[in-house]
Amino acid sequence: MEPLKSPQSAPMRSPQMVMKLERMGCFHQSRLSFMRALLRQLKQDHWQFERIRWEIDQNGVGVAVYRARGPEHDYSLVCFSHDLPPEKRSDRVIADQWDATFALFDGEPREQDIDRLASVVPLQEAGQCSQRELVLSRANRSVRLFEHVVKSLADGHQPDLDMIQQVGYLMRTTAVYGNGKFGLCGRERIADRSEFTNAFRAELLAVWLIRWFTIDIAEHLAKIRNPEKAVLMDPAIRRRLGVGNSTGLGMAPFLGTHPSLLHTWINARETALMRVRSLPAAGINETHAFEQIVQRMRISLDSWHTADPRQAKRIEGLKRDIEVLEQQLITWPGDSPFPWNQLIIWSESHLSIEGQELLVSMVIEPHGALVDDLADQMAVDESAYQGIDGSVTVEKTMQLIRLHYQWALDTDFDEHDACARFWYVSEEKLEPRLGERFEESGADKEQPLAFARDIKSFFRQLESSVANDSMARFLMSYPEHRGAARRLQLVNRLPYAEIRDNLIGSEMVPIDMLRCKLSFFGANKFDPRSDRWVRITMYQDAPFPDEFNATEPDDWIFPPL
Amino acid sequence: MHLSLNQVEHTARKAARGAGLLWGLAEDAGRAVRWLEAVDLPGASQLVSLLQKVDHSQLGPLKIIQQNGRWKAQSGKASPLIVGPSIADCANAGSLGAAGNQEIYDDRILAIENIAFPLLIAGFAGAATTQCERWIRLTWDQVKLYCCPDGLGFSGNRKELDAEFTGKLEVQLLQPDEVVMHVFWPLSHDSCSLLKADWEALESYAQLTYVKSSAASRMAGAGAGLNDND
Repeated sequence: MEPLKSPQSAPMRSPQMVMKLERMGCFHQSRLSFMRALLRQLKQDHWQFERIRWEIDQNGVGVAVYRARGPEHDYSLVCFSHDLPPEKRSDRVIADQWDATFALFDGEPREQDIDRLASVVPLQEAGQCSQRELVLSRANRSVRLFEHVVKSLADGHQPDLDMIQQVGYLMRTTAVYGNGKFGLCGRERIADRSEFTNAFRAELLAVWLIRWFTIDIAEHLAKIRNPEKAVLMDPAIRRRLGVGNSTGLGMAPFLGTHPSLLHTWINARETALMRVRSLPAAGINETHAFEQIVQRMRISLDSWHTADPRQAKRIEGLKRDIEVLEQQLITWPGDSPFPWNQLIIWSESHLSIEGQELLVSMVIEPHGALVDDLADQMAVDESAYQGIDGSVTVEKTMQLIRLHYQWALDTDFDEHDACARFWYVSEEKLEPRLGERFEESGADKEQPLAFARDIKSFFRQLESSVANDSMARFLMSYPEHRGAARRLQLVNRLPYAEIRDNLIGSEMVPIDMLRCKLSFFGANKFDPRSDRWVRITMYQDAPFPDEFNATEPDDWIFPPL
Repeated sequence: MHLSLNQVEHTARKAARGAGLLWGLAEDAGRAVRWLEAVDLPGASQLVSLLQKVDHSQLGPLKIIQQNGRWKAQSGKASPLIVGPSIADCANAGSLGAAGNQEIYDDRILAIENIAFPLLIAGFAGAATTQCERWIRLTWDQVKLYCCPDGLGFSGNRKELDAEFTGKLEVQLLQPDEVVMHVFWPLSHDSCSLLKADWEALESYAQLTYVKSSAASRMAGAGAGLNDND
């Protein structure tokens, strides 16, 4: 056996490779994903959970409260359950009535808090929350599954497992709002609490508690329907149910408008991969765990259903990728050095892009001790990257554009295809949408997401400026390029901050952005319903709060063998 | 009305854009308003008054020119939404002469002529101090403001603080140990209270950035049917 090379760092994958939409649209959840990191933290800090109020009538209408008690703070999910006529049920964010509405309350609500919330929370966007509420959300029952489960339980038997596998949830959230929206408490007010230091933790705590409510309401209705015969759900079947979520374009611009946050997420994941690739040898335990994960992933792929032709084809590709990978693993790791690195390099010429990204998540998986600290480094003070250094010269700025945005300079924005779309916010519900620039009106109210076009226009102006003029001077004459100048300086400091694709081009597929973001949340089983919205399942197979103490908090993402 | 700083920043940003500023400048305006509200000064109210009194639909007349060591608007009153970002750029560069004005050096005072709502400048300067490691003194009439990373120091005549106009605003970069303050308003890092009229005015400017939708655009633009149940 050759002597191992001295420890060294494998390279980080380049932003030019990672930050292409085609690849970002293939990301999978990993152990750094927020749902998983949250549950690990709740377990580690011995959180306790309790349903402290259940006043739901025989029509399923009323209020329920679930309390999460941490070492320093209590939070309560306040649930309002409604009796919604079927014709009112819509997945769309523009709906105005839901089967259930929720708020995550800071502390334990008193009677007057519940009264106030009852007048605000069911209105969702149309109400104004207070600084005591951290999250606002709502959910609808699954037409395919909810009634089946209630009827089965009422009849005294368990629901059909195949149907549960097919759908995966009893209720779908259609929005989960936080961070100061609609009067909610802003992030800055809670960011110093250890449970909420990292991004989206409050929102995901709320969703996890919502999942508990979805089971309770189904069991409650079954009991009402048939008090004598009704049974509770088998815990093993219950685990197969997550919370569904429909996500449309509203989420897509987030990655463009929060570049420093995007960088920290991608950087954490790429750093984790780099650490694993830098291991000179594969440990026996890690190798065994990895091989099991590959097998469990194969099982998981069989329960990933979608009618979307593009994703269906990719899932078929993934199944082939797993077979090819299993072949490769027969002789892997062998005795060659840096075996994880070799596997990643091998994947780049043998697996689909979706397969490569799945492998990234799978090689990270058995290395918790090596990478889990990175999950705590996925927040950022965005204000630290908003300033513009006025001393940088025109010449240097042009060099930086060539370095980071050559792909944008190579795009001809006089071509209609290159600027076929525009992002806008609809007046009706303040929802981001995508318009066709040459077919619809409204492009004069375009949102600032045409980064490639704007950088190129900035470059053209720089070309006709004095090379050693400062940015301070240049922007005094051309303040219209301020957004592009800020973006460039930020991307120069945080290279994973920019999606290396034209977000207004005719070829852009918006769900690639959604998929990337949702993978960081920890979602899986992506089910695109069009090129611009996607349905997912959250927390499927995760432990429930009432069984949390007795279970391993982080071994749920892949189905058991 | 009680609002989160995030809500105020985002709406102020959209309001500035709705009033005609380009997004890059509007983003800075939103942050400046947020900073002022975080020290409990009326940033949102000042922005509303400014947008109502100074036309921001044309950038040309608002652009800054440098003359005899002073900054002034191309024509008419200078807008703090244009001047503020340039002061921040210079502060980040460590010199008020960074915009190429040969007569201003680090230890000199930059003068700006005829500027509307000078208090808004403190929002830009305050936000900049977290990055530039220098403090910024603003002086007009009987007002002295010391913008620093933790908040805003003040001395002078409180009545002139929210002046609609001043003939001369002076700006100076300072080392923290050069500063003596009488009153200090700390960054509260929390929420803020706005007059309902100000909030509604901001929202109506913000409204100008939204596109009216039709049933057809709703289908195409969001990519889903109106009702989807499974």
